[in-house]
Amino acid sequence: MAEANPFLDSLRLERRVPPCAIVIFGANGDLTKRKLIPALYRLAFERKLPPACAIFGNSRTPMSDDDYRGKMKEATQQFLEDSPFDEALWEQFARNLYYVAGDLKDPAFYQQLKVQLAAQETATGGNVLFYLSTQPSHYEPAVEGLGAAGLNVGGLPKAWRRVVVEKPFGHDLASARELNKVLQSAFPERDVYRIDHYLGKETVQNVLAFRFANGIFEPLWNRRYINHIQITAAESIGVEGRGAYYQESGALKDMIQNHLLQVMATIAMEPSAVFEPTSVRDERAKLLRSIRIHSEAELATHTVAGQYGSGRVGNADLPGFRQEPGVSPDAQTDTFAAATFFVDNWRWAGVPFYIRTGKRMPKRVTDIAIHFNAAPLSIFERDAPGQTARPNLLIIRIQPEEGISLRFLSKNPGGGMRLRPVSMDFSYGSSFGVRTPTAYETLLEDAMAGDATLYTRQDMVEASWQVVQPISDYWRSHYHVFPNYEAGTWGPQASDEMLARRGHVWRVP
Amino acid sequence: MTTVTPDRILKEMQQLWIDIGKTAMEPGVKGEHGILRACAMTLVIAADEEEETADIGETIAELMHHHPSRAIVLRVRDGGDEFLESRVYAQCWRPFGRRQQICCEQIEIRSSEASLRDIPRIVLGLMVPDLPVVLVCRSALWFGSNSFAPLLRVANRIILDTRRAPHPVQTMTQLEAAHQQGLRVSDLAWTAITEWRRHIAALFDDATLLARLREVHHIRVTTGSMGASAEAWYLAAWLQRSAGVQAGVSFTTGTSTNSIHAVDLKGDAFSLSLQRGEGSVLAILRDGLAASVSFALSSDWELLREELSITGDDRVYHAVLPRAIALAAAGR
Ligand SMILES: NC(=O)c1ccc[n+]([C@@H]2O[C@H](COP(=O)([O-])OP(=O)(O)OC[C@H]3O[C@@H](n4cnc5c(N)ncnc54)[C@H](OP(=O)(O)O)[C@@H]3O)[C@@H](O)[C@H]2O)c1
Repeated sequence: MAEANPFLDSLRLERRVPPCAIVIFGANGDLTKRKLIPALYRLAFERKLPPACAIFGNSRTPMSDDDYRGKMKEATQQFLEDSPFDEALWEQFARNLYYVAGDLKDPAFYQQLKVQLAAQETATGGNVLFYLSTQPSHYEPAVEGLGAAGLNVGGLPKAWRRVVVEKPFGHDLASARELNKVLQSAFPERDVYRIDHYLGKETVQNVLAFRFANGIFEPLWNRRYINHIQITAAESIGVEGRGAYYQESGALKDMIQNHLLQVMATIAMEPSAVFEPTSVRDERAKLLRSIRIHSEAELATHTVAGQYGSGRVGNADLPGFRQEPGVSPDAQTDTFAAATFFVDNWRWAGVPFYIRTGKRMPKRVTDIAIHFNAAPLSIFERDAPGQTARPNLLIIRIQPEEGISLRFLSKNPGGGMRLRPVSMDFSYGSSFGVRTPTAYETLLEDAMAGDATLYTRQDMVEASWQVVQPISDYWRSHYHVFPNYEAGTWGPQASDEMLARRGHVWRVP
Repeated sequence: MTTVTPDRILKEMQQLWIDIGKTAMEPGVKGEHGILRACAMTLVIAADEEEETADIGETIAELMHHHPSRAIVLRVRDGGDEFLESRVYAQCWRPFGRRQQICCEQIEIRSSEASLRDIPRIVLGLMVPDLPVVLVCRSALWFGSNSFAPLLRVANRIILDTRRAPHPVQTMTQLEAAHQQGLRVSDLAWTAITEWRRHIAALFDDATLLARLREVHHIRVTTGSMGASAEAWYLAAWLQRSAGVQAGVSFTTGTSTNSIHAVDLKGDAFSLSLQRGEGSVLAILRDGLAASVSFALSSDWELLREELSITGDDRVYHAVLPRAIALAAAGR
């Protein structure tokens, strides 16, 4: 093993990202504009980008380096989150930003890229991070192109080549396996970084700290004390011009297969022995494999598909999904998906995990609600009939206001034993006034540093497809009477009924 | 003289929050979206007499972005007459892109030397329950004073700055003694060399250079015109310890105004030199090849911010401290 650097001091000297180049496929696209370039710029602002980090963008539209820089500057000014824009720093950052026009299906493009990368090799040490931020159908040709041109291996000794893949990782189990085969034909698994930006969110990472750094919660974290868990990821917006894309995926595949099952795994996984990539990911994977796969009979009662129709929110009239541009008037796409999951292990046997996600809901919110069992005996029943049935609730808010709150019962001031629920709140905003990094900043920095803890692994992707695929097949084989919820509401009635069967109700987040 | 008691100060503070809350909710007022009261610790700053109130206020204002606190600023002036007064106020800021302001409370207590003994009791009554207490002694004199002992005992962290101490070796020895007694102490002179350490550590990320580390048999630290200081002793001691070799250490006095001007690691066929240039440039000379990188300069509040972010034990510092005292005592 290589000798350790005795001068390192993890307490003060922050992790250093080794010099490298970044190649973005889909450089002209939405994700690059909104998330990737602003995140890289912000990393530069915080001096976390390695010096002379060369960034190459690729897409087909002909543009000069300067045209591209101008376009990205505009995008960064527009999409930079909670951060000022510094003109001088941008100039410095943009000097290392290049554009390589070309079709990623064209072998000549890779030769051109190779020349450009080689020109930077002294500064980058030959390290390259390839980022696939283009249509999923282009992942395979891009990886094959890199492999054929020999760009998947570094020429210099110890140089690394890594590839970051955006969701979706396939559109079903078979295509996920197929994509993986292609990825692994050019890159070993340890160099494949499957990004799930939910795992990069500060509060999702905080779930691990909350559970495993505190002694008081973990003893309660099981079937004995927890009644059920609700995970909600609601968006108030519709498909925002991405109707054609969305029509092919739907809420189940777009949100549950990846993000929300990962969130569920973080909430329910066993503690890992050490906090390092392999152990943490092993535990997540183990949990995903323990999620019970629905039987044919359960699919009808444990899952709900929905699609929004038109509605009025405030004084705005909103179109239904089928009226969105690019969407077919009889689309069977789920813009809402809800499911009841069970985890078959000793900790969670019998505890329902309810997950719902949807577009055009009353507000944008993502949170996790842990419903504890009610007190075993209600001694205040005479003064507060029905009140003690209100169980304790622990809410982990992921967005927009990150924080954690605990609901418990308290005595109302005055005579008698009247009870009322009160809430104890921890808000990230008030305890840490500083800006939290965006998920893409965290994840890009991790990928450059070679830390895959917050990235998904192939076995995790397959395990979640094993869970989601039967639902998707079942939905596809049935005709849905859509739309079944109005824009601006919490989803179809069937979703409430799914919980009502066990005497539960969706919390209003 | 009005009576100064914790109860009275707390009452004034309560009123202050009511007033701020009212103003913030008035329509049309800047910050109409309300305020968020933030506090993650009690920060007691024992200031030098000659320090400007405005400077301390600015330090606290900068710090609160990262470490919101109830700040208690203590100021003592010469004088045999009893004198004690206090005032409370709030500092607010609006994070970029947010509408709500974040506010922290600040208490200033002024006293004469004769009234110094009354201060610990007041401060004890003003600490925010269950949150860490950090004591920043801007002047080393506070640290040695008996009247201050009760505060040292309750503080979770005590931060000194030997760069400002009239007898740095003595203060470093006191720090070591306090550490041996179980107090969690740190020194901003040590924090001030983080940037040097960062650059040196980065160089040894290179496996080829790392493999040659055992060739080093001499470490030379060139100081500024003021001669060797706590920073130079710390840096030399850290290099000697981390390198794990029995390398000799020497200090040379240069002409620059920086407290450390250069560091040289020498072996028979090995030579690595880091040298501060104009402004924020660091020149690195490795086996005859030169490169320059940017050297970040930190203000006092940035050093304090770094120190406050460390919540556990700084083991490296405590391993280096006795070695640094030995180097200083040896007069090298
Ligand atoms: N947008 C988001 O917020 C978001 C969120 C999560 C995940 N994702 C995932 O991220 C990926 C990218 O999404 P996106 O929204 O950014 O897509 P997009 O806007 O459609 O961008 C794709 C880009 O690829 C380029 N391109 C298309 N064909 C090409 C070819 N043959 N050769 C070279 N370049 C080509 C296009 O530019 P030219 O026309 O100039 O070639 C286009 O700008 C997708 O996998 C998506 O699922 C996106």
